[in-house]
Amino acid sequence: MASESNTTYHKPQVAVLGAGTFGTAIANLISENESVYLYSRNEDSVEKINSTGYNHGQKMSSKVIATSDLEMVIENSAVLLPMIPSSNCRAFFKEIAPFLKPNHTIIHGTKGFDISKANADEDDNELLLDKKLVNTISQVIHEETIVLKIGVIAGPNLSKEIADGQPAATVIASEFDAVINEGMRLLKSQRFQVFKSYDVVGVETAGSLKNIMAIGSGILYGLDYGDNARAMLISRGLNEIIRLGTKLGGDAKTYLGVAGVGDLVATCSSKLSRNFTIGYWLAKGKPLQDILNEMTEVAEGIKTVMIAMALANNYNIKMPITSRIFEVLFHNLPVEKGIAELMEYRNLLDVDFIN
Amino acid sequence: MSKSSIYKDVQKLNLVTPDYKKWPIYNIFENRDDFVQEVAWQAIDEIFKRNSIADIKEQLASAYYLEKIRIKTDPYKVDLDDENEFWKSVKIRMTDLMVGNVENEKNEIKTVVEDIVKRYAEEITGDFKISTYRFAQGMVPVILRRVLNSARAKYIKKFYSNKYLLSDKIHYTGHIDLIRQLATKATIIFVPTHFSNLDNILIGWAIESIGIPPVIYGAGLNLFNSRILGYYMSRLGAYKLDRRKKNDIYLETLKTYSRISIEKGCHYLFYPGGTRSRSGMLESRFKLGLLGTAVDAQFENCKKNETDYKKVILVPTVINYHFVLEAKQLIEQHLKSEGKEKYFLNNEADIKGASTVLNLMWKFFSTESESAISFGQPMDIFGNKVNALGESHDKQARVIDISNYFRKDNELVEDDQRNSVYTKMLSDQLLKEYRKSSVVFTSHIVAYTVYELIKKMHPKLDLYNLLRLPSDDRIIAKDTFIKNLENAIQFLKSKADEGSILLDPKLHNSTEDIIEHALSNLGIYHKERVVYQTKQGDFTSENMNLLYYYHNRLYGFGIQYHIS
Repeated sequence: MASESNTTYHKPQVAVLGAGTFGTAIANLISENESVYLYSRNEDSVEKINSTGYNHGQKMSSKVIATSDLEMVIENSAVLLPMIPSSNCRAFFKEIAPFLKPNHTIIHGTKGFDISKANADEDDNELLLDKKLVNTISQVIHEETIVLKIGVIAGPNLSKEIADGQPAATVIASEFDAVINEGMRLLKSQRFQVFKSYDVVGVETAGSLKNIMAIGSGILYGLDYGDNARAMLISRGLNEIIRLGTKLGGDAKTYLGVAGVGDLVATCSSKLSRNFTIGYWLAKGKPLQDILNEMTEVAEGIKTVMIAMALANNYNIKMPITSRIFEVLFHNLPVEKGIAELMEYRNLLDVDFIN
Repeated sequence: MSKSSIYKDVQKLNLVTPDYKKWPIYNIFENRDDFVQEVAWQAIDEIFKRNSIADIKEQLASAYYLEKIRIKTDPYKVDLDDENEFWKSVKIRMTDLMVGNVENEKNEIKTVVEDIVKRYAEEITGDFKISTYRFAQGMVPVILRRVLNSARAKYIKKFYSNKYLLSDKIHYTGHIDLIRQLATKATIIFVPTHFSNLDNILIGWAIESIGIPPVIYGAGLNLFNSRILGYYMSRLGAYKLDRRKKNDIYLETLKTYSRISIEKGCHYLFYPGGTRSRSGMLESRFKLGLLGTAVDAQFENCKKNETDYKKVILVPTVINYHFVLEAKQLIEQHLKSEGKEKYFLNNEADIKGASTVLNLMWKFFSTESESAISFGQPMDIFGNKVNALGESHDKQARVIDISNYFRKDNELVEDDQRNSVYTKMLSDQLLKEYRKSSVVFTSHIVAYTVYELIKKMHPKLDLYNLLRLPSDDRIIAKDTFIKNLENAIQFLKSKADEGSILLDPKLHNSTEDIIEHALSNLGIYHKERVVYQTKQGDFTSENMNLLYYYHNRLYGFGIQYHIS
């Protein structure tokens, strides 16, 4: 088996689904170990990838085969790695469910939640969300398909740096050793380290909630604040992430790992991320809608702020930073005022999430 | 019975496999010795496959140590006479091994393990006899009917009520036809909820009533201390579980017994929750040991015949009561273990000697109270629905080949860790199905509403203070109660319409009738009234612990949001 799949000309047995910047970077990473399909529903971009050898500015490996034939890809691939925005997830898994077999493995890289059942309206700030209505993506996969071998990857994985060949690491989480091993085999290379975890929900929530803080970090940068402010945001933001994440079923330890602190630090430090950009322009006084109109890919953070806020209200969890970002995003709270409010908090215990 | 009844008449159901010579349980015990040997050898294989020699030495030492304590501190009448000698000889052989007196160490370890496993396998194995089964099949209904009629005669004032049928007493609902069809093609495992010691009798009776051939089931070795009971249980398919023996070698033998019985196609019954629910809540967690043997058995079945493997089908089963005779003891145990120092034990027995099964039976049949047995959605070990042909379906109603869950690159691959995750996922599916198959009785919702209203009256009290409320502080005004009860029932009806719970037909009666029926059934045999109406017509409870216990039956369905 091993000898077969290692030959360059062999048909791929693994597929990345979704050819956004992250999906493209992951496909290139896998190609260092074996040939891989890169599925895009957009025939033009498939065409473009195959003719130019580039996608989102990334040079494509010759072992990446771009295609828009979803059924063929799923038929041929034992391991599927969907790298798609959270808002499309449920519909997407419904769509591919009829092609899936029990022996498929799905490792997803979506950094967001699914609330498709709750019919959440973005204007509705009274939104009451229960854990039952907010699903992590692994739960969606479980609900919509027959696949049981499910995993997730998350970590400080800025696509551009991965594409540049810089060293980086990720976490693969699954309840199944077999899935973890498969993910490691596919992704691990000399420039890409892979750590393992059994805490699927922890890794998923860590990867999603950090986007809130990325917006916050962008705001601080937009205000020309420096490293002290950012460090405060990161450490106190982590505190909020852990409080909500553990309520959703994650293990507190997970948030201290590569997918937690690691990803948080990277996302809050990088000026490349979409969520950071939103924060930056908000601080510069640009209306949210204008910023969103200018973006080509989805910024998960906006939706995540809304969901986190609703959950925090519902569970009665204090999330001061998140709530100020929420107010800035949706209720025109001036950013300076939000920060002033945060600085007025009293009697805060530094670390209360670990005994 | 009203039109909206969920209950089904099972009186005319025949055995699905009339010829007992085709029953795996019969065939196994035709050659009992061979079966014991097979269990023992496979268990030994498993032990040596899974553990290094060093680990096994460790297991032997700990088994010896634990067994020595057991023999000393907790002997049973049913224990073999030579227990002491046997374990002494194990000790001597172990000592020889330790000091290196043995030429072929591995061989000697193997023979020691062999001797222990064979001894355990012999003890565990039951001895099903068709003659005893036939006898019981004929006698039990007669006895039950007698008990039912003579016991009840005292309580029933109405003149005509001389003839009671068991069908008035025990209702059946759920996927009975599907289970019957599946029972001829697949191995059925009934996994019921566990509230009372009476469950054993009711579920055994229910399985017989819907025409399923006898099942094997585990029974505590302590029950075999009674020779008569032991004789009958053993011959009716029971195997022996010794909760005192916790060493790895014993557990492996037990699991192997369970797995091989399933592989051989014996229909099976076990309580995945392990023990009776102490809190009165539906199970929220399973013990995964025996459930895991179902997954392992399915894997072995796939290996034996890759294209036409025998399916293992789980049937989540919910037993519903108006009252649980042991409720008082159970809830006290629960509160004591959960509350630690917060809970002061009120040392007062409820029903004397309620622990004996016969006593329970008498009390159960002597009251008017009914029970309902609800057979939930049959599923394969991956939680997929199955059709009458035994085929597994996905959500799009596609037939799927579940052996693929065990495959990698088209080969069946052994993977214990994977199977243990599958077991956990299966338990989640079964727990969900318990909730859907629950039957709400009038008494359940009345107890629930009263308790929630008392709780809402005292929002600042924690559970333990709430349970200690003085009687004056726990009276609910009649109007408040009725309004909230109606809201709660309305909500339950909407849940029933979406298929997420079942309602006893009496819940479609008028509120007045519902209350009356509930009050005359709820925990009727306890000394104190769980819910009663004061002279002013208000509602209250004489025993908050019991009220809490009965309330818990509907815990977790979200009804509290409809009570204010």
